[in-house]
Amino acid sequence: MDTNKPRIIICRGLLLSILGLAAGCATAPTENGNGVTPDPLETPNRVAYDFNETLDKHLIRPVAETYVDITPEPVRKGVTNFFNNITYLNVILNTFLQGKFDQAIAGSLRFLYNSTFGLGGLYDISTEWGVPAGNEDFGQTLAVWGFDQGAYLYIPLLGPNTVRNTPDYATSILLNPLTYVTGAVLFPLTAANIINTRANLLDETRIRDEAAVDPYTFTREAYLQQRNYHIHDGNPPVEGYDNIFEGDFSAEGDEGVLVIE
Amino acid sequence: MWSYFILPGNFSSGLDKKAAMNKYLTSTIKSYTGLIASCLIGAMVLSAPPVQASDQAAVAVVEELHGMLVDNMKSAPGRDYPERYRLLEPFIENRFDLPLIVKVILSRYWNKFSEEQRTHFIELFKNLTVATYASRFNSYDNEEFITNSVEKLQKGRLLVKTEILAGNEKPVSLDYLMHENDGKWQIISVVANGINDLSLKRAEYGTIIKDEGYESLVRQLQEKIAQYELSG
Repeated sequence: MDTNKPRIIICRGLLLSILGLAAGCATAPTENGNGVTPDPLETPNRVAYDFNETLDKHLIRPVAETYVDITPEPVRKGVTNFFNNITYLNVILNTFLQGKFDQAIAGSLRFLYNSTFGLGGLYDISTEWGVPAGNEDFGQTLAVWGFDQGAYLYIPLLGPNTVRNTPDYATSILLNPLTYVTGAVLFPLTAANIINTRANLLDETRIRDEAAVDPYTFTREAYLQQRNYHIHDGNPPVEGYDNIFEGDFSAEGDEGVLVIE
Repeated sequence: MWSYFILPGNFSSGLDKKAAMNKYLTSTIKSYTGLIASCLIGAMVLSAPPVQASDQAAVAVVEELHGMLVDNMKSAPGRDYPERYRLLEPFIENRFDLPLIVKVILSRYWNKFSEEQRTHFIELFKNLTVATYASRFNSYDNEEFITNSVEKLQKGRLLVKTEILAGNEKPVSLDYLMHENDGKWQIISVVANGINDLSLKRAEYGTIIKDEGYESLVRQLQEKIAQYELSG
């Protein structure tokens, strides 16, 4: 059983290095004020997107919907709290790395309280006590440190990403205590996490399906903009809002995806 | 900032650790107290007179929309979709700068359109906007809209920052991009949790026009409107 964990880490490592190579080949597009980037890997990204959508439609979404139907809301809340808490060390580390010292200390206490008084993270008592969860990861840290976003990547099974965000898989896996438990525990828990995460996204994907005329582009734009929002802790620079009105709307290159001729 | 990276050294011995922890706890609590105090002062300053008339006029437009939405939500399902649609339509026609919104969304394609196509697309986009609001705000679960602040942008544009609060759910931030057009304040985009509707639609519609053509975009938007009507 124990041999499973190195294998997972190696597989992830391999994936990261492949992506790293892909990133090296791709031109590094610059981010404009709207956080919109060209999508140089659109063709392979769309293949991966279609693959995920097919898998989701036929397997993951139906299972998630059944899970919502048969599981009482407080239980699902507990499951969500548990996984949020056990993956929180990555948030704490990255809060530190971004120099937000007070928040990192508060985050550490949050983890400590939820893990103990919150019965292993099942109850999110810290939020009730006024210390809400932060939203940080290594991709955001790299952004704060000044690294370029790189190309947009849609990864099979994992979904929307950017090149800059991929090293986060390393830190989040290494800092997840579940990585170090045996496969007999790890696999059912991972499956539960996937189903529960998908269940929490049912409303979002319903709205996307209702609103989107091109779900691939919708997902990409929403993802990139929301990343930018989180990188700036909910206060992205307002210049981005102005840039969209500049130009005469016929100029070349005002937005990568629209340049066709 | 670099002092943060030497933290593990500070925590080397047990005693030091405890003292350091206490110190940081105190400073954390202090900073929270500071935060609360500055919020209170901030609230006092904000509620004091120097709020500009233009800001108030822009905020009033957003709050009128929120009022209509809450009213629709509370009155549903007794107030059905066509009725909600009918109530929202004049407001959206008046208080959203639809010609500008469509021009930005269609971006470089706009110049290639005939006058007739433009008028037609603006009408279509208005119907889509009204249908989206009529369909999405169709039930009430103690939602509350709160206006937080107003930020000045370039060329007299304003960003009105608001939030939807709903029970224990995480608040949704809703920012309105506004400008003054012919003496009245109009909405030009809505930004929900950092996602700017204008940029999103510009990218999406551009992809459809590029890959499938304008007619296909029009057909798909008509289908969306029909779906909203169906699901009510």
